[in-house]
Order: sequence, then C-alpha cells, then structure tokens
Amino acid sequence: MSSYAVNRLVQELFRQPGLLERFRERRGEVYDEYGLDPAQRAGLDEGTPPALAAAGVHPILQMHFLLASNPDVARLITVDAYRDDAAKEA
Amino acid sequence: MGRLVAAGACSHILMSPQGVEERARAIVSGIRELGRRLVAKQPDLVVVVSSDHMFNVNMSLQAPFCVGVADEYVPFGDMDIPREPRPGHRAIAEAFVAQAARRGFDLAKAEELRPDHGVALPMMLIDPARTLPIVPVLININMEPVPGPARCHALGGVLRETIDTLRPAGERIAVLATGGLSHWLNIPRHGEVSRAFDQEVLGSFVRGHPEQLTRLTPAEIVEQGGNGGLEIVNWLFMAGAAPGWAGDIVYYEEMPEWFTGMGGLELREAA
Repeated sequence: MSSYAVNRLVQELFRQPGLLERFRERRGEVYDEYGLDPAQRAGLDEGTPPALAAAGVHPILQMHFLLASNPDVARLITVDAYRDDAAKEA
Repeated sequence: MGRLVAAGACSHILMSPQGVEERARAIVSGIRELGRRLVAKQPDLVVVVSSDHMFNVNMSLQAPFCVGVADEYVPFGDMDIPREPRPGHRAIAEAFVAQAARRGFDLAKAEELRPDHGVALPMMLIDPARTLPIVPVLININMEPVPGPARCHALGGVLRETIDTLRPAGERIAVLATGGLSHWLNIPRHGEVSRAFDQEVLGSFVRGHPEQLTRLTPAEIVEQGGNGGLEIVNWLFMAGAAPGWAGDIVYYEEMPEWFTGMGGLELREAA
C-alpha cells in the first residue's frame, strides 16, 4: 500500500480545523477516515521516529507528528522565549 | 532599472534556549545584526528564499519552485510564531515569474501562502515592525527529484535579470536566503552537525565563489550536510542573484542540542 495515506493524515493535522483535536480524542475514527492499514496505525500509535519512518512517514512530516503528539518536542521547538524581545524591538 | 542593494543568508530555526543560553543569544544577535545590515541599505522589499516545511507545499501538490504573489502574508503560526500580517509585493513577484518563464523556469504562483518558520522566523527578528514587504520564494527540497543546486543558482540569476531590466528606476531590493546549515533530520545520523561542511559552505559564499557547490548533486549534499543541508540551495539562489559579491560570516554556532549547525552571512557588491 502506498505510504501516501499516512502522510496525508499527518500533513493535515495542523491544516484542517478540528482534525488534531479529533485525532487526540478518537484516533481510531481518524485512521478509518484516512484509510490507514494496520502497519501505518501501529507506526503512529508507537509514535517514535523509527516507527514513523517504518510506516513511511516523510522526515519533515515526522516532525509535524512529534510536535502534535509529544509535549516535550513542542516545548523545545518554539519561539516563545524570543517573542517578547521581538515585540520590544518593533 | 531596479537595483539589488543587499544580499544575505541565515539559518531559520530557533529552539528553547534552556541549557544553551549563550549560543542561543549569539544566534539571535547574529540574525539581528544581519538584519540591521540589510535594512541599512534601505531596501523597498526583501525577496526571502526558503524551503517550506510541508505546511504549504506538501505531498498533495509538489511544486519544485513556488513564488508568493500576494499583497499580504499571515504566518502559518508553526513554532508559535505570531500570526501577524506582513505586506507582500505583487508587482515584482509577477515580473519574476514572467521573466522566469521566458528563461525556461515555469514557477508555481501562490496567493494563499502562509509562510512557515522558514520565512517568518528570520523576518520576525529582522523586521519586527513588519513594514518591509516580502516576496517569498519557496524551493522544495522535500520532494523527489530535489531541484538541483545549479538550477537554483541559475534561477537566482533570473531574479537579478528581473531586477536589472524590468523594475522601475530607483527600486531597491534585498535578497535573503534562509535555512541550513548541516542537519540530518529523522534520517540515519539524526542530530549530527558537520562543522566541516558548514565552514566549507560559509567560506565558499563569503569568498564570492560558491560555484563549486553548484556542482554537487543533491545526494552528495545529503551525504555531507544531511537532508536539511539541502537548504543551501536557497543560499545558492541568493548568490545567483548576486554574482561576484563577497562578504563575511556574521555568526556561526554548532548546535547539536538543536540538531543543526547555524550560521549567517552578508554579501556585498565589489566596490
């Protein structure tokens, strides 16, 4: 099976209003909607970079998934610490 | 004729400064210093050349090159970048796309681009007041085949031709490339940084001779600088618009904690 189904789901997580929330609450329903096969579902359920890679998720979209699913990654990859400085300079 | 008045390049990511405060400060200061130098040349607009991180140009439609032609841009908001609008510059964007078509480059045009951190993060630091119009140029390093280094360099030359021949007298344009330097993102060697690759790239540009980089294949760049290292094709576009310009490195930091080498440079026209 093409890996596009799983990539299509991940690339929509931040683009389609409400999808991320639905994924967090009822991911099985979202898997069905996007037609993921068992291996792709297992890859997202495990959610580590090696598991995502094995499921065929593009390296950049792996970052999308980690930002969406792992609070530690979201806390690391943010400009929050620099925004106030930028606002002061404006 | 218009005039290219400033050219530079910088990395386009920041992460939490926790534990790396000093180097993070040096990077932010470096990007701001580069910005001060560009702004001091009083450009009317900045052409910002970056990769998109699949927030706009994803797998559903894969265009090698995409030019924003809109009147205004609101950031996508990834990395918590404020979704505050910044003006675009339709006239030069359209002129560039038209000139590129005459030179064998058929470019995608975007009205609804939502710049991600590649464009929005450097501009947040360089022009926090959001008064400088931008023209985003996106080079798609996330597709196969990747637009090659020589072709990206040549397309920068078409931008320069557009500026020199099609734009009104007195119009002042800056070009800023963003991305890089070495990083291996979610592929084998994830998290490595290659100081050797980064220094070779920075040196080639500031000496005014990046031509050797145009002879690399994308696979060779990935081998030496990682899949994220491919973003030097954005820098080659910038250098293609500024042939013969040399300059200096504004900052460089190895940031394995952020999984990347980070650097910036300014190029200037020979006196």
